[in-house]
Amino acid sequence: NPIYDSKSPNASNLKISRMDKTCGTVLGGDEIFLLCDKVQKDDIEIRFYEEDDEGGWEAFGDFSPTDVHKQYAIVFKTPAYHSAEIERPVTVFLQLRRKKAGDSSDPKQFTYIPHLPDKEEVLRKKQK
Amino acid sequence: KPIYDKKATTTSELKIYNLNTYRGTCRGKTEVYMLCDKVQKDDIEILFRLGSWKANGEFAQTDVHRQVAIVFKTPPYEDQSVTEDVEVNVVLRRISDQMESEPVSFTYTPVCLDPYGVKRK
Repeated sequence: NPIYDSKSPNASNLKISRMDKTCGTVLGGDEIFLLCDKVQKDDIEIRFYEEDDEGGWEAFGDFSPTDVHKQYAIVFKTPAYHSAEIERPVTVFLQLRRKKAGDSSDPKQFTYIPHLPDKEEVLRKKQK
Repeated sequence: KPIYDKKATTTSELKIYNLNTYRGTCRGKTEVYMLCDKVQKDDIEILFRLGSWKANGEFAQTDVHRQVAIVFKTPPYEDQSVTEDVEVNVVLRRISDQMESEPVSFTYTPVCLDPYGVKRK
């Protein structure tokens, strides 16, 4: 695998400019609009990850090539966190990564919010 | 009917693809991400309209992302005391020639007069 210097501007021009949300449910499935620098719709993935001493965790945003808008925006759904049983919000990272070259953007933070069935029930009733 | 060069942003057709949300309170200030065809950041406005009422979405040129997305805030609806949802039209309009996109619908919701939504279906 090639090694990229993520600090060098030539290594990768992948960049996340803005996201409409930076938090969502631990269960995943939240729709996010992400604005980015130029990407190829069939050679890009959105990697959520956590790094720790025991190897960490990763999962990928869910979208199809048609969800990539004019190479500069991606509409995707968040992956579920590895544990639905969190009691406090957990902050992880996400980055854009090219599938072929493996180079990635600088990370952004994303916070998973605990799943509270009671609260959700109230919200659901509210929306009716 | 005039013929437009579809490649030039000064004359190309305007098109709204999607919004990240199609609802917001009648007070306005809802942040919306709009995906669109190429626009010129200094020659574009977002118009909210219903009947004789109209107001502009609020954004700076730096909120126009690579010509194909705009992050803006909704304008307040003219009537802050609505008790039911109000559906209005949103269009992109090029300032220089007043060309407009096809409209998309946006729904203004009442402000907490009925917090549990019992009257709203």
